[in-house]
Amino acid sequence: MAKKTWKKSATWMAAAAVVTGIVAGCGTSSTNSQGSTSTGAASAVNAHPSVKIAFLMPETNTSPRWEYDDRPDFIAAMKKLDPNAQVIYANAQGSEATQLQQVESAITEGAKLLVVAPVNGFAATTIVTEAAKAHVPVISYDRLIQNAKVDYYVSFNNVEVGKLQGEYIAQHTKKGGTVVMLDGAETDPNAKQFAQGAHEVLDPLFKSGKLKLGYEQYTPNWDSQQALTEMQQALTRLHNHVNAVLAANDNLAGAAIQALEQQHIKGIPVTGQDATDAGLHRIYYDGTQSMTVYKPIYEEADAAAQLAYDVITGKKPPASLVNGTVNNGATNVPSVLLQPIVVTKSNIASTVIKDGFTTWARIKNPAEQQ
Amino acid sequence: MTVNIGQAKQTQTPAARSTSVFDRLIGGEFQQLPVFLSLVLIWIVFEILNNSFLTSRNLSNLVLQMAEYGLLGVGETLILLLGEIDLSIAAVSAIGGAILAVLAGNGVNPYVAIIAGALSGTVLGLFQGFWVTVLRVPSFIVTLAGSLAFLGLLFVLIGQEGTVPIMNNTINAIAGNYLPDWLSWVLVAVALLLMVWTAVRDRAKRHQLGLPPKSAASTWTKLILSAAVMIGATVLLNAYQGVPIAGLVLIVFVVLLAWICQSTGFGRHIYAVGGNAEAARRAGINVKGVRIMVFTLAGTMAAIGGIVGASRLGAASTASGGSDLLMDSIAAAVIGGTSLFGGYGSVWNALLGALVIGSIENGMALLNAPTSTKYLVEGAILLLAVTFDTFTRMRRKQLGR
Amino acid sequence: MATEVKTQPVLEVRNLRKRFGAVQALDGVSFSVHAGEIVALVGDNGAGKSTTIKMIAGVEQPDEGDIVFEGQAVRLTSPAVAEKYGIQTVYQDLALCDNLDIVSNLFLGRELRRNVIPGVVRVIDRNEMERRAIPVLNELGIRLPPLHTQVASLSGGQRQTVAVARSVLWGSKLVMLDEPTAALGVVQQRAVLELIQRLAASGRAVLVISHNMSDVFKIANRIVVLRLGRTVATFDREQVTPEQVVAAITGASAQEEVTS
Repeated sequence: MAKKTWKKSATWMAAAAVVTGIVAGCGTSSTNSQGSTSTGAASAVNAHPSVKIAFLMPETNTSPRWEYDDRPDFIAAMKKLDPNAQVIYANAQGSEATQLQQVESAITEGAKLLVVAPVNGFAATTIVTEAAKAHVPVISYDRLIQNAKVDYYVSFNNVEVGKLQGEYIAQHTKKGGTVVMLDGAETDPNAKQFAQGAHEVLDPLFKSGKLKLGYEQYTPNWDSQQALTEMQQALTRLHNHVNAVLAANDNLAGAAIQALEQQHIKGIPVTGQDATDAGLHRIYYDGTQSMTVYKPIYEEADAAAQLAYDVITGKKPPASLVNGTVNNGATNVPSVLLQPIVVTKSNIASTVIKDGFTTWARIKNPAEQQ
Repeated sequence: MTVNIGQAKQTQTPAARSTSVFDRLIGGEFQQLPVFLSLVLIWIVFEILNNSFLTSRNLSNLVLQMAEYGLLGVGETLILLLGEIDLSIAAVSAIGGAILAVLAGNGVNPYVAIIAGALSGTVLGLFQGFWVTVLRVPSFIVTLAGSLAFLGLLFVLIGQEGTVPIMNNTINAIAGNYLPDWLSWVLVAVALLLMVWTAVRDRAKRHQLGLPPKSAASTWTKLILSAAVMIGATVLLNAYQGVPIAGLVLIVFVVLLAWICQSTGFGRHIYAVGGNAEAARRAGINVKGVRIMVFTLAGTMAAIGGIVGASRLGAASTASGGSDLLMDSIAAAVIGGTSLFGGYGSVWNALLGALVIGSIENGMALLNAPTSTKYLVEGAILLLAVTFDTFTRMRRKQLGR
Repeated sequence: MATEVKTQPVLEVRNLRKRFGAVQALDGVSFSVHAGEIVALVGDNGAGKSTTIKMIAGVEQPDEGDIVFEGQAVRLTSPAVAEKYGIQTVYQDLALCDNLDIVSNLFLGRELRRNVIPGVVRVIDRNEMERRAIPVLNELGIRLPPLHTQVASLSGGQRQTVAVARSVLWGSKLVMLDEPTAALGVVQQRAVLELIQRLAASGRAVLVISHNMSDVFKIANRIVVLRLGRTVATFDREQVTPEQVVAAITGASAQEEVTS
């Protein structure tokens, strides 16, 4: 869910599917480790000469992250833990049926563990039953497989994202100030979790009267045009008495700021998420956006690799890693819930830049094509 | 209506005036009236529910909010007049906005970027028109396929980030700036003088040629109504920050296309092809040429709408082409009374339809109504509009036989 | 047996043949039409009336046979070519645009334009179109509602009138009408028939296809009977009874191949 705006267009991206289908559509492709000489450090894992892990991603249409971030990050992390490890990578191109097929062939190829980001969390129970038949454990990656006995879950904490945004608003809004909330697409379960987290923080303040909730609206499809209209109407309705805007992501924040600028309202806290170049530009150069929430993908890939390695070598994952549980309707899934990071003007360098997530040049001119 | 054809004299039949007021409304020059009345009703309802609705500030917002799908709706109206449909206009508008944003972001002159953005729509429209007309693939399929492919293209243009911000002041001024008061009044005065001059000259010309005069009442009513609307709107908008440039862009294109439709041979041919393509073909009209031209025009209008939309948002994004934009645009055309079966409707109606849709969205957002309510109300109004269209079609037929 | 007309016929067709796949649609059709004359083309369904008309209108081309127009053999390769010679066709479906007004239909595809900015902007000159239409309508004694009335709101007879008026407006020498009175009321039928007579009286050659024997006998000077794609009889109206014509149409009569 790194780029929410990609999501709605998933179904439209037939063309891209065709192109990427040539790369990954024909089933699974193995990435084998090179060389079999073992170093001293790796001797411990020689007992498992054929550690095979399947890394099964959902699509390439709506977000390039699976292909360009998760895949290389996970493989690199895995190699670091065991140079002999084999990672079977496959991408389901948005098809639940394809993903199931990929699961089956991965098991046939001898995968000892599946790391799966389901195409559809609610239609992925069969994946878990298939794996259970072969006694292959399943780690649910980024998106939780619902209503099935999943072994582990690795993800950023969506509720926490909302809490971080809510806390920022709580700390930076003047007493008695009026808050506008733009929550994102009602049909997106993640959007509901963001809103839930934000409300957990802000509701007590609304109740006590420390802050006022002036206007709250979902934005169909995360459409910025729609969000702009909503923000304009919120300002009209509230006669410009708006002291903070909790926008669920950077695109909504951009729309809200556009409406605020039309009314010459400046210097009020506006939140965001995804650490987009446009959002970071507004934070660093314009000062119109206050913060964004950054979710470093490599952390997620590292955690999944570490967890996979522990499970496959029969170690119990440390409590520092598996730090919670999430109920998926069938069981309480032991989970790695990663902490998203608040990025403000002061820590851009030490976060997104340091991680190579983006560059100063791109923040300076987000329109420039890489 | 008289049936006597045998008399050896060409005369005006006074009996033509004996039809009911209603029939005259749906049959002729005042076909916009029902939509206009609904609009007034919608405004009254929203004003009662929230007294910020009819403020000049909110109406100024409304103009900005509706400019994009107003422009798209105008293009779609031309397509509907042919009895075709274009499902790709939202995607084309996104492409227009994206090309604008990417070019401007890479330091291209803003005017060049605007023209390139608009031309991208011309090219895509021409391509689709060719496909529909020459290869005879139904427009529904061609433009559906087009909308998919163009969104693919959009992702390529915009890149991984999903959003390309526009930081050029010239471009952002389209939807961000307003006309100076004096300029808006000069434009209103010029427009009114032009209208009066045209009407007076036409009457003189008819008199000179010995033709029966047009109804003076209808001519002057039209003029007075137009003057009232123009002056009223200008007063209101100037009371806030002025006439938004985006609103001017919308009006200019509506006037231009309405003029093309009503006064040029090409416009006549659009109606002829939509009314009876076979008759048009037999009359020697280049039916294929008209079709291709209309798709090209609609594509251009979509891209221009996309430019206004991108300017309003200050960004182009991969989300631009989706969502409600397509539905809003088609609804604007249809609510305005343009028939889905071709041949009936006008560009002015699309403007009224866009005002209706815009007012509902504006009002619902002002009331902080949930998305569900908004969709329900819009759906109901669209259904009523199309039902009215079907009903008037039947009535026109009955009148004829 | 028909009246001998001294003048050269406006249209003469000789031995037209046309095959559509396995079907011999026309198998020898010959007749002529003179200026000022109304010729009725009658026959059962499938006798070849429509195919004949289409060939004269340039929609179809014959496999064999000649079309002679004003004394010259012509090749009517398209409707536009036929129109150039002055052949106008009023089809049964009238080919009107219901959504346009009378003037626009009269001038459909041939709109008169005037310059606003010479060479750049030209607009339709409605007033000029109306001015030119009125004398033609008067000549034929056509009475219509105001010319800006939408055709959709006209009666069947009025629509027929518009279609006929259009054919006349464009300088036709031969007007062909396909079932002009079908689907009309009695009063309107009479009006249309009178219009057709005035058309002939104005010096044009008129060819009418009709099923309606009483119409045919009211207006036609001569009656050409087609059966199975062949001209089987040509009658002078004055010298024939409806029974004889019907007999020729159905083939019950031996009185075939009457020459004109």
